[in-house]
Formats: sequence, C-alpha cells, structure tokens
Amino acid sequence: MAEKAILYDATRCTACRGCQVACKQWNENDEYIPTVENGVPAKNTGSYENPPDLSPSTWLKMEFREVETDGNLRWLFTRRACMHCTDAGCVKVCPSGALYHDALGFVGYNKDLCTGCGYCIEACPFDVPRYTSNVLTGIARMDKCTFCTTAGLNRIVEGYEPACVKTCPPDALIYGDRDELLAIGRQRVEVLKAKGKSNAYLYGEREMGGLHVMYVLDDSPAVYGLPAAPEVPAATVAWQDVIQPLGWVVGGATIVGLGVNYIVARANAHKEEK
Amino acid sequence: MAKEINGYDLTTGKLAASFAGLRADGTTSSGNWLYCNSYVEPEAEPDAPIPGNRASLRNLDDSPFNIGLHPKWAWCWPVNRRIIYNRASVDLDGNPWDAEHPVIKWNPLKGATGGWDGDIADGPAVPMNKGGYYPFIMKPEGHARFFGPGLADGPFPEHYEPWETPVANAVSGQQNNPAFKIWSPQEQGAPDKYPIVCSTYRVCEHWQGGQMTRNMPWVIEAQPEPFCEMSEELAAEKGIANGDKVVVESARGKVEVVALVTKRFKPFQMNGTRVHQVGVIWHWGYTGLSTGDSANVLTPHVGDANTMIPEYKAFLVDVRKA
Repeated sequence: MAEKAILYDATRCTACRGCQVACKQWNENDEYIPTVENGVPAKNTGSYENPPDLSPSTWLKMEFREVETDGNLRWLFTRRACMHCTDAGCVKVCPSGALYHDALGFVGYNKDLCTGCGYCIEACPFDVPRYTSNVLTGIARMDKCTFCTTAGLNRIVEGYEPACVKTCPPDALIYGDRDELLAIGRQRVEVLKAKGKSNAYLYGEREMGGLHVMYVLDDSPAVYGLPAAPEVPAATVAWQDVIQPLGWVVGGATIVGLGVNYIVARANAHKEEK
Repeated sequence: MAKEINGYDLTTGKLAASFAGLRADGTTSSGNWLYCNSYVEPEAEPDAPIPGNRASLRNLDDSPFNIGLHPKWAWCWPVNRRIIYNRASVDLDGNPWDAEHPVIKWNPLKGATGGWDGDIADGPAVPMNKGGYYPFIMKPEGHARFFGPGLADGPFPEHYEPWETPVANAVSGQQNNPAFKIWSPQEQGAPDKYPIVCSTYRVCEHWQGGQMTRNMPWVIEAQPEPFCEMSEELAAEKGIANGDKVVVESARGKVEVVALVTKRFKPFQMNGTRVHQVGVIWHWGYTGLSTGDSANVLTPHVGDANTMIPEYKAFLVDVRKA
C-alpha cells in the first residue's frame, strides 16, 4: 500500500489554528480552560501560543516566531506535532508495542498498551511525546498525535483525511500519498527559490529516514525552530540494539543456569540418598 | 450551496450560465446575481479540479498579456472580470493606452465582427469609434468622477486627523473633519495626559463581543485573555515585561489586560516626534466562561461624517504596569 503523509506549507499558513482546535475536537481531548472559576488563574503567556506547550491533551500546536533581519520583519508559523518518522526512535524503544508503524507508514499509537515507561520521550528528536500520571493510582500514560487512527475515531480507515487537514482553510495542510506530496513539495520549493528564497527547503524528505509530516519552508529549518539534522539519541539506539538483547541473553543465561543448578543439585541429592 | 448561489434555469434544471440569462418571471433562480457564472455545468468548465466549479480553478496561466490577472486562477465576480470599467484602459479604437501592460485590446479579426482580447470587457461594448459607449457603465454619464455628490464632507477627499491625536494636521489647516459627529465633547483626551495612539481590533479565535466564542472551551484555550500589544521600545520605556498585567487608560475609562510585547509594533516618527501605538482586542466582557475587560470602555464616541462609523482605530491612551 502506498505510504500516506501530510504536507504542511508554512508559506500558505495563516496561523488561524483551526487545526489545533479541530485536533482536540475530533480526538476528544480535554481543553485547558484558564479561568478563575476553574481554580486555574487566567493565563495569557504574552504570546499567541496558547496553550503554551504540547501536552497529553494537546497533540498539535501552532508556533509563532517574529524574525527580523536587516529591518525586515517576518512573522513565521510552524506546525508542532508528531512528525511520524520512518526511523522512529519511539517505536524502537517502546517495550510494549503501544507505538508501532502503521502499514501506511506513519507512527500509530495504542494507548491501552502503554505502560507509561516514558522511553519514547527520551527517544524523540522532536520533543513531541508528553506524559501524565494519575495522582491516585500512579498509572502513567504517554500521548501524542495518532494520525487520526485512534481506535473508534479512525478517520484514515474510513477514507477521510486527518481532522487538522480537513479544517485547514488555505490548504496549508494537504493529505495524500507520500510520493505525490513529495512531488508537490519539491515543486513548491522550486517556485520559492525562483522567487529569491534561496534557503527554501522541503523538510522531511530525508530526515529520520523520511517523515510522514513534511514541511515546505521558505527559509532554513533552524529559522522555523526545526532541528537541521534530527537523530535518535545514541543511548536510545544502544538500549534497543545492545542492552536489551544483552538483557535477554543475561536473562536467558540465568534461566538456563538455574535449570542446570536444579539438575545438578537433584543429582547430588540422589547420590546422598543412596 | 455554491450551486444554489450561482442559480439555475428552473425550466431545464441546469445551472445558470450567466446573470444575463436570469429572469424576474420565476423561471430562474440565483442566490446572488454577482456569483452567477461561478458554478456552471461540468461540460462548460471540464478542466476545473471540480468540473464546473470555476472557484476551484488553479491554473497559473496568465495569457494573453501577462500582467498578473491570472484569469484561470479561481473566479471573480462579475463573470470572471478581473478589472471593472476596463474599457477605460483603451483609446477610441480599442488600443490600450499602456501598450506594455494591456488589460484588454480590440482584435478586429476575432469572431465574425471582432472582439476583445484579455480581460472580460466591461459593458461589454465595442470600441467608441465603432459605436460603443463610455466605459463607466454604472454612472449615468459613463465617465469617471473625481468626487461623489452627496457627501457631507465633499466635494474633494481630504486628510483630517482623528478627534484624538498627538499631532497637528500636516496636510491641511483644518485639524478635524468639520462634519463629523461628537456625542460627548467633554470626554476628549489630551496628548499630554494620553500620549499613546491606540487601535482596537479582533483576533480570529473570537467573534465580536465573544458571547459565543467565550463560551467555547477549545477557543478560550487558544486565546484565553484580552491583551494589549505594544512595541519592545514602549515596553522598555514603561518597564513592562512580556506577560505583565498592564492598565490601559483613556479619557473614557480603563482596562486591565496582559501585555503582549511584539516586534510587530514599532514607534512612529510623526512631525518630528516619536509616537507609540498600542493595540487592544475587544472580545471580552463580564459574563461567560472566560471574563475580562472590554476595550470598548476606552473608545471615543465619534461618528464619521457620512456613515456614523465610529473612530475606534485611532484614539489616545496611556499605558502603565498594573
């Protein structure tokens, strides 16, 4: 099956944040209403960015940047959510199978299988997964964008685009086959370059083995707050490729050792009986 | 919905092709005559991404004159004419005054009797020398006008300073519009006490007074509090940090809101003096899930000379840390 993806064109985005609200609405995520009546003091962070950060109930958030160069001010907008990497660190470290690669390429998430270990948070080069634990039960859960494939709320299997794409008025977000979106993205970057945006870049074409959320940028990724060369931390790779297999070896050796110990001890016991 | 707005020929059930075919005898329908021709039968516009829906066109082709009209990019009223009164751009023979940037041009070889190349000609009449009529078709005399009759402050356009302003009118000896309406003259703020220019406006997350949107939790979360936007320069002068509570005060009243310090506001240089501007959003009020001060407390009661539109985009305030 062809891989699916989302293409975000930062040059088309008006930062209306319809995507941010539609994401919460479709995925039935709680809002954080900063009213005095709720016992939460009113809070505007001195920014258009509210809520101030991703959270288990905020999977998508728009970022605003004011970049001034040579007296020219640009107000830049960036989409912040799971990037759905091909070489996803979170999938690699997830011990329970809660995080997995969907057949369509993106990183699915089955919340019921999550044990709340938090390894995925360390493994994500984009700082996306957010973690919460229940004060009474101590049960912890991670949460992040599921590409609208949460069980019971799965738009993709029904043939719909993700909720954020559906709501985007200027078509800054489009959804489709990754190959087709790559072609569209490359073409738009060429148009931007022809207009003098020499740093224009299609982010996600190669990063992390290919992202399933790609960005058309009219400047370098760093200007938009995106890591220029994202990678999974070395310790994480060591965990999955070395320490964990080593753990299985050590564990296995222990079981074998115990078995041998039992047989030897039993043989000794028989000898003593005789 | 777009089809209903375009309208139908009710005798055939087909989409109406153009407003010229609309009739007042009940045989046609149209939600808005201006939009008639925007959504036609699929065979009339087969290459549109949504066949027949001309608003869905996304072709960057700019032929024949390449002046930036892009006639196949979406659709505009009326009948996809990109520039109204466009026959004013040609001489009596139909040749463009500006030969390098023709909007339309008469082509005698087009069709049986000649026709226009370029934009959809307004009228649509033949050139004047071939029996056409003047291009400003919505005026009885067909001519352009320097001013419109019937304006209280006519006949010519003039710049007047707002009722409250930190500067003298540099363009005219008349400081304010002599015909505007002032309800409460005693409520005028002086620039020595209120030196900062203030504008009120909306954010896209909220609607007007916020009676609907301030009861919508997801929207409140996205824009939780009223704020006052100001330049980094003004914030530094007043000792205000981003996110601080500030009091914005005019001769009418005061509000307490969050300071949003931004590079998007810059001090003006006016008549040799440095003038600061701040912006306050007005969506809040005292009821609802999220409550806060409304910027309407600050605004002056001044009515424009012709329409009574109030002067809410330019008045005087002072700002201080709360």
